Amino acid sequence: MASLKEMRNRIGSVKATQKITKAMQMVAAAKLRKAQDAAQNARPYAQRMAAVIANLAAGVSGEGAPKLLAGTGSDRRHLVVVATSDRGLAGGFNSSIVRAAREKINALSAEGKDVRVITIGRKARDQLRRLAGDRLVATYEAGGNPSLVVAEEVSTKIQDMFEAGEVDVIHLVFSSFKSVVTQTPTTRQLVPAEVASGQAPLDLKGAVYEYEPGEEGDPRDAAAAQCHHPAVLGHPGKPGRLLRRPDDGDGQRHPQRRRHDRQPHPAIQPFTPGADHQGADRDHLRRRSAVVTERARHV
Amino acid sequence: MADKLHFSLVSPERELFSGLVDQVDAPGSEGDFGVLAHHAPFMTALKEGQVRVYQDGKVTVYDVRGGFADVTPEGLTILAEHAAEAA
Repeated sequence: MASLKEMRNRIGSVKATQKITKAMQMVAAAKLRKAQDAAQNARPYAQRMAAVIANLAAGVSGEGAPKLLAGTGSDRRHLVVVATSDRGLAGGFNSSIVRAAREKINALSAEGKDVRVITIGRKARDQLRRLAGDRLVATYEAGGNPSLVVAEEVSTKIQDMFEAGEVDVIHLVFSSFKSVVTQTPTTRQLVPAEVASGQAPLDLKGAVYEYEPGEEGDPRDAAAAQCHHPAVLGHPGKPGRLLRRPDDGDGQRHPQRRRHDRQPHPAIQPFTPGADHQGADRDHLRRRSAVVTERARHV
Repeated sequence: MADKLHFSLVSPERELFSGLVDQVDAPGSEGDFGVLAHHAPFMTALKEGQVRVYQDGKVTVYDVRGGFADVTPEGLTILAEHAAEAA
């Protein structure tokens, strides 16, 4: 039988833990909301870009068509780009993406195609390494706050490979964000551009589309190039970030999470407009003080 | 009242503007251009510069970098790689 003093201590300890976990949960909720907003704000760009690409792809044909839109004419060498998060503890988020990617790779290999793989996010890299072997040509990490910088790197790499004639068809496997609890692993073909079935070509009312600049430096190339931003296609990185830490409020201490937190205090970093300053939130989490609660209330 | 043009300015991060306007001036890679309602369909790459939006006598200015503008019968869409409202 525990003594009264032990009981009191225990009650006090539980109460303190409750306060801490409550604060952590509020911070997690605020971060979740931020990430969700980011994912949803990115949507108009993705949609309009998809519309523009579809419109362009429907209008191009023949010899002079930009290859990024129309393809190289061959169907032998495939590149599969897989986008997951860096960290786990996110339910089936990563494994469902990886499963979709694995199926795609196996299906293409079974057809006798030459398959290459690029992964974005540590989970995809770790889980596909064995299957892909030396077909894994490059890996990227999205980091805590996936930004367009990573997307641009990946995009550049893909374009270089395409221009060097190393690939003919490019697929992207990512998770499309439906809601906080629902994401669907999606496989989409980037090159040649797919025209969504059932989408009527734009009615120009008899007018002719003009392109500027003309023959060389065709904006269609620019358009197609932008299409490769993984960000364009529903911002696969964002929901990943969003879902990586769904149980931040559970009061458990996850070693891999804390490891990630070792970075300079954001307050000593110079402020640059447009730069990412969300790392500040993470630091607050570590301090676990009343400040945390206060901040979460304001976010 | 003259017809209005539907204009939207979108960056990868968010949609900065969407609505009916009187006129939009944008920095095309081959030269600046203005778009009114019923403009002929046309697409151009953009250079770094300013987009001016004329709406009910007011002018809003955005700084844009990269991307392209797409004029269709439905309106003008600017997909900019970087965009922000000018200070």
